[in-house]
Amino acid sequence: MMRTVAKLTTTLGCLLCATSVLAQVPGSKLPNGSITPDWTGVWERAQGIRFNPTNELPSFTPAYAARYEKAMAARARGEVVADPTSRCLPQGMPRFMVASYPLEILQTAKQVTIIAEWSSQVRRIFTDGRKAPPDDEVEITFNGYSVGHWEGQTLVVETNGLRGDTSFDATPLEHSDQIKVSERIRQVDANTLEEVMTVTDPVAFSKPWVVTRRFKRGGPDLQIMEYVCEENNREIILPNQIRKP
Amino acid sequence: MISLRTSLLLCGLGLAAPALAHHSANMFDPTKQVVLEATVKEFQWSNPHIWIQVMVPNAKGVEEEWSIEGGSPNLVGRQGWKRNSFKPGEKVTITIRPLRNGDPGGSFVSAAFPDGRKLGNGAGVLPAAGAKEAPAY
Repeated sequence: MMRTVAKLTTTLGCLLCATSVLAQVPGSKLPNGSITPDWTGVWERAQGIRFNPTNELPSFTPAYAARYEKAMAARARGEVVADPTSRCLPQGMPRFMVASYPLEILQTAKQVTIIAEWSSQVRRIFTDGRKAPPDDEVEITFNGYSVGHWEGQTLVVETNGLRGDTSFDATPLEHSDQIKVSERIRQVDANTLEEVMTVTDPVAFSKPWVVTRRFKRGGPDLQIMEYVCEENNREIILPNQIRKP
Repeated sequence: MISLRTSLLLCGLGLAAPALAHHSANMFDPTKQVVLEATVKEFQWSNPHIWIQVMVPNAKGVEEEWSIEGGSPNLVGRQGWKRNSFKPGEKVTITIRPLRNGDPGGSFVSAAFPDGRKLGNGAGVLPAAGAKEAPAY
């Protein structure tokens, strides 16, 4: 009887001990012993819905400068320009991180998962040490293949395997299927994340486009809601509004 | 009854974000506002946009159906809207930015009910964190 009680106490003690250790860990413990920050929760963009909050344009290649000018002229005439999200296609990367609607971050030692409320999209950033598949083999997807690692308290992410026909925002900015995105995400104060995104695309841009965005921690009542775009999309999309990379 | 007024919104044009996250706002005329004395026919609380279907008498006194588009339920919901904010049969004064093509429809600006209740800020821009009001255009 006494032995059973002792055993139970030990088991309970261990459980409590394990629980309290888990509760104390702010993020994830890495093999090198460092502790990552914990960003689990809902975050809102701290800026507008333009991809670059400064509104500065990338350095286009001549071909993409011409495409941009043509689309802007059409817009100035009052025409509706192509935006794949109008057809309920996912925003894709890197527009995902514009966070038109809030983002929820879930974090484990091996993966950082980001859920976008907009169109219920999911990004998986693998932090388990794997390498991304080579560019000519990786699946081409809306959100791409993201591999991350921690440099101190900064999450560094490389994404390849991205589609060429997604948009940066609701303006006629375009990229090609050669796009790749590097991200450095860090916490700048208790309730703010800062992300520096470097977009490379040798077909569309003559040099990498560096954009800094910020996110504010959502309040206690902020929950991710369901968003099924196909529910009642009444936009009329004409064939010439479908973007071709 | 419809009243049309051209406002001074042009000053701010191009500086702020477009009104709708889901699609270009170019189908609407940002330089004009139309005030509709309307009766609610149907409130569609749906993604990617909410729609308020209202009946408005035209110049000849014949009832005409207008389609008014707002933000998504998550967006307007966070600004105090509910899925029953517009009830069929309710009288309401709605201000919109009209469609450029002249069809009876537009982008929601604000609504005022006879009991004094008001709804605004539902056009589709999530306000920046900490901001009380979203820029409309």
